[in-house]
Amino acid sequence: MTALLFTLLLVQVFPLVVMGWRAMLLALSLQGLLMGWMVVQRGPVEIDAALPLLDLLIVRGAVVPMMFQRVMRERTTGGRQDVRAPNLFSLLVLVLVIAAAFRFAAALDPVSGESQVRLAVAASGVLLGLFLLATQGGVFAQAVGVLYIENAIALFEFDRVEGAMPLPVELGLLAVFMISASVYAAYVERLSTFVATLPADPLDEGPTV
Amino acid sequence: MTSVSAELPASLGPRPARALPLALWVLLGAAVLTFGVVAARTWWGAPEVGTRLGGYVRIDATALLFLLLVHTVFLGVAVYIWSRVRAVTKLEEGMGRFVVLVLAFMTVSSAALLSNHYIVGWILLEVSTFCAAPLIVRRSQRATLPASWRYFLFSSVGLALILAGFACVVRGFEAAGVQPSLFMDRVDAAAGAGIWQRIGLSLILLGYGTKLGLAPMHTWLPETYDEAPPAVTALLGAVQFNVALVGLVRVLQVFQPVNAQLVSTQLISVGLLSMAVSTVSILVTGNYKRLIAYASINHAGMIAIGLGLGGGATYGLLLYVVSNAFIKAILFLTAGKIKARYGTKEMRDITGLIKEMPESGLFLMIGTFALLGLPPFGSFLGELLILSELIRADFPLVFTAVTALLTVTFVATARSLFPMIWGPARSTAQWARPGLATTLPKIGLLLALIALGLYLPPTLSTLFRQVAASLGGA
Repeated sequence: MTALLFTLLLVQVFPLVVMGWRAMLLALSLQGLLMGWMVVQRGPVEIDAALPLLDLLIVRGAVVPMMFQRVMRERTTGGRQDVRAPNLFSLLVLVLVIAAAFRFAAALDPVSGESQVRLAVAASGVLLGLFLLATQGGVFAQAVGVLYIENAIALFEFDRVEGAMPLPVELGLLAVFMISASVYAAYVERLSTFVATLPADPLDEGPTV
Repeated sequence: MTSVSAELPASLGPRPARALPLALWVLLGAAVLTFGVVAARTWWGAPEVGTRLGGYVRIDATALLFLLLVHTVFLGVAVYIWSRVRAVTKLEEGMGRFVVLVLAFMTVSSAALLSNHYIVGWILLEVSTFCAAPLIVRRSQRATLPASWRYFLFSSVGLALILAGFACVVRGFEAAGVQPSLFMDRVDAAAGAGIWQRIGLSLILLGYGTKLGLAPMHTWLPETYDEAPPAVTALLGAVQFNVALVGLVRVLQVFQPVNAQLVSTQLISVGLLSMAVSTVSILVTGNYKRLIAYASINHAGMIAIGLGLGGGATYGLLLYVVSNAFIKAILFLTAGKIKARYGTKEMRDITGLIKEMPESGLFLMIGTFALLGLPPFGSFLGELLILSELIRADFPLVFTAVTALLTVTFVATARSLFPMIWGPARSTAQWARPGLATTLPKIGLLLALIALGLYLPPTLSTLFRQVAASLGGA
């Protein structure tokens, strides 16, 4: 499991070094699939684990990345503004962010092992998501930043005590995640096509309620 | 330069009699009905604490007070929308979709106020964001879509931080060997106290702070409030703000007694930072809608300080919160009328409002007085009680900083808005006086605002005291 967690960390980091929309979508997909694989590895999949498995493997691993892929392929504006290329300073910040996440995990969970690594990878997911939000101006990269944070929360909740959250609440959370991702994709689509076609004169706006 | 008016004066031609869209009547009917039900329940029903629907719904003083507040504002906004569409035929286009989204927003917001489960409340707040984001967008205005995106993005980040915070709180219970539950009436904060709970609480405060427009996560607010249609801005500022605030209050009701120092430090710090940031922005802005938006951040800062103080400040805090909702609704709806008349948001392009648009000039003037915390409004009494508590609780430096920031805000706001109201009129056009339906919502909200400062009926006063007591107040 620890090897899978370090793979997940690499998956989180590589698109921030490569900085391309395909790499980012691949990373999102792999994050979902790896977390799903961890659920499978934990033992026989029982009915309680079916919903997290559906969330991780199907929704995060396939549906959401495919939705974004469709939008990114069909957009009309050039792809150069999708993501901003990294520089030496941003790469240094990246290294510091990961080091900070491991220090944070070591302080909170002093016993070395899988639990500490999971906490470190989850913390780095949150920090890398915030890093993307802070450094990227494009709608697509910002949406990926929020999805990084959402995936990190899912990893953090990985070994939550069963029954802590009632089933209707779990279903609600899954539905909200799916709708959020759809709305992000809709914004990516509309902001790249719709805005460019509108007149700029603010006096033409007409009456409003 | 005064620009071309976006709408022609009504006096230039008779308004043809026409049937209004059904959606508009549905909106008005829903607003009247829900306000009536909530007001009757508050007036005649005992505000006892109770849960319903398997423990997911909680009816208590907090829920009733804020339901009454948001539905009063909703009634005002619905009458305003009805009167605007009645006056401007072009607004009928797309009204069905608009009304559906507003009603969905209000339904989900009301449900969030009644939620007894933290995560269910969180889900409902997120769904209200789904409903509000498209309301910000106007097809003819290119700036509204990025503003809507920024609103949605910041909301999503804030809500993700809240969710991460609750995950940490749950981890705290698990670490203590306690079966975690996020039903408010079943949470034993002391049992899960520790580092995880403190981290969780910090994230939750930061997340709700984002939804409330508190610094450093406030940058979405001025742009959104500026670009959204005035009725939507009023709903965001007076309804969604209070739904998010209740989410935070529900957390504090349970976790503040165990983590008083952390909550106090964090809330007072972000409150002061928000007041400082908004004061500087008020000094430099030339746009009256943005000025009101920055003033909202300033008020949110004061509310955060009041929440951080707790104790004796809570009654004043509640007065301030309720007044704040009415002030924002009055000012944003008035700003909408002014924008419709002048077609500009620049303060330097507008002068002599009190002569050219006497009703709007009057509402802007009175709203500004209330915004600045002058008597006899509830905001004055609320501010006074919070400031008194700062002295009583031995925060002399915070008191000094707050009063200094309030003084600068007072001068900067007055310097910007008063020339708009009392400056020389540039136009001699005879503008038709607005009908009663247009001014009625603002008159109603204004009377409520004055009542908060002068006299509260015993039923409401009891409700205020019960909510204050739930936050550790007297």
